[in-house]
Amino acid sequence: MNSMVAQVRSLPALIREMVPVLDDTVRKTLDHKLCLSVKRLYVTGCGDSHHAALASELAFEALAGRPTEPMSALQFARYAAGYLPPTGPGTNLVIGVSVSGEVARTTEALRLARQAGASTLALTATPGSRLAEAAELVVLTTTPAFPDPPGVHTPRVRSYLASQLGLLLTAVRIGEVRGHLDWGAATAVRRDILALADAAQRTVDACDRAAAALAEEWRDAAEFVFVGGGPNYGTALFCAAKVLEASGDGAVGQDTEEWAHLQFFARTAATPTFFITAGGRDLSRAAEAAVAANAIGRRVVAVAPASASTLRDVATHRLPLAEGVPEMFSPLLAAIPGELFAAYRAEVLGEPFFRPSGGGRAPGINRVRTSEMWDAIER
Amino acid sequence: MKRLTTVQLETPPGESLLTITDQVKAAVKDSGVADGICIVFVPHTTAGLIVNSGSDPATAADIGSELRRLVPTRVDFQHTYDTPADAAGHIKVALTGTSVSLIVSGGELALGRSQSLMLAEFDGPRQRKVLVRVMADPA
Repeated sequence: MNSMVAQVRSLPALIREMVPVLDDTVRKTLDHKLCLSVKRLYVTGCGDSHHAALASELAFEALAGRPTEPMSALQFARYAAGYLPPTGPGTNLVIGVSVSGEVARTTEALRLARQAGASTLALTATPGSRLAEAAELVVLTTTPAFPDPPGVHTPRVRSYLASQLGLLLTAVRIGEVRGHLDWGAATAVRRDILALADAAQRTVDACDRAAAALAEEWRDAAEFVFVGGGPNYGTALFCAAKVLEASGDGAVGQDTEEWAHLQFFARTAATPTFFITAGGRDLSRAAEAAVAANAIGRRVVAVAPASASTLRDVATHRLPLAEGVPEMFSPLLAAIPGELFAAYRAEVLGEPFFRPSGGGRAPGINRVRTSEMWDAIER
Repeated sequence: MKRLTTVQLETPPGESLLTITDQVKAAVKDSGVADGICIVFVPHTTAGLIVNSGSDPATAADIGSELRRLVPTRVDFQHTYDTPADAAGHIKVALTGTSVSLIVSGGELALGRSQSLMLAEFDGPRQRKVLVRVMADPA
């Protein structure tokens, strides 16, 4: 069994398992004073964690009722932390997301946020990690063990889901304590989040074989583009990252509008291009872009619910998302088709995940954890 | 003869006083008890019971505002699992209580002319239950 596919298939059960635990943790971690004081949020991280932050922005704004800026850790640490609005204690809340808790840039971001007087929350799966030590508050997103087969390091999808759930439940908590959501509304939202388990199952069921068939059919492809808007811009980046990790193919994620501005200049016309939408506010633009993609010879996949017919009708292939999921929650499902495609793509090529013997994996090359921090540079 | 009745209520957002006298009277009638005791109990921790005047809505508003003056919604409650309104609601219920005992006489509730029985909701909207148990005097 493909261990990445196994992870994807485990996601519905993971939602059922994690939601009550994370909800309890978040309630116990974020006190009334902070929730009532906060005026704005920044959600920062690198890689998958940055994608989770991007995917959570709409939920924070809708549920917490506070303006929220997702930022890459470099952007926040080096270009934003020094310019936080000086509105008083507890008013700026910076959430740093990192599964390992050891990446240098997100740790740096939280350290600089604290120096700037912001409140800091680490969302990490690793207690006692550098990120956890750097933050005032910690929400642990540790998932139940799901061991890899011996000698295999599988691209992570469970931890991404846990980070997303942690962020969503944080948004609910802040919104409820602030009175932006009353008890009934908050309870209904928590129920909706739990119900994503069923929607995730429907999405896995609908996409599993189709993604495998697509990976086989497009064996010849050399690069992949994932396109998404709003909360699913993060999904597009994440799916591209999974293809890179799983099969080593060149893959990019792009905002739907940005795709329409740039991709016409690409040399390879038949590049498989996945348009991801929950059928929300970005649907009309996704459908227009897909028409354009067809016109320039792209192989177009609609990753969308069946009701998003304007997109599905112009696509040559479809990976369906479950119906009836609010756009702000859709990133929890919308990544599933891309994850499955990435997993099967690696299998079709016989490519080991993460290219364990490649130069980029050698110690001291990418320096995700050992990158020099700002305080050392300033010294 | 129904000796235990459960009244279901959907409360509005925030705080409210909902008159439940008619539902309790109906439960007494259904019990067939002519003379005895009616115990009304709310199995919740942020909703209580009050017997007071239900004829002028301003009375309910005054009770609500005075309870808020006594127990302001603030940020430093120790119970932070839910919301500040929820934490304040627990204390308000400690003041109102969650049960009342009423006398049944001649098959009717022996309430005063101006008295009403009210569910005090301190953290709505919620689905609330009110249990009504009617017991006959010993023969």
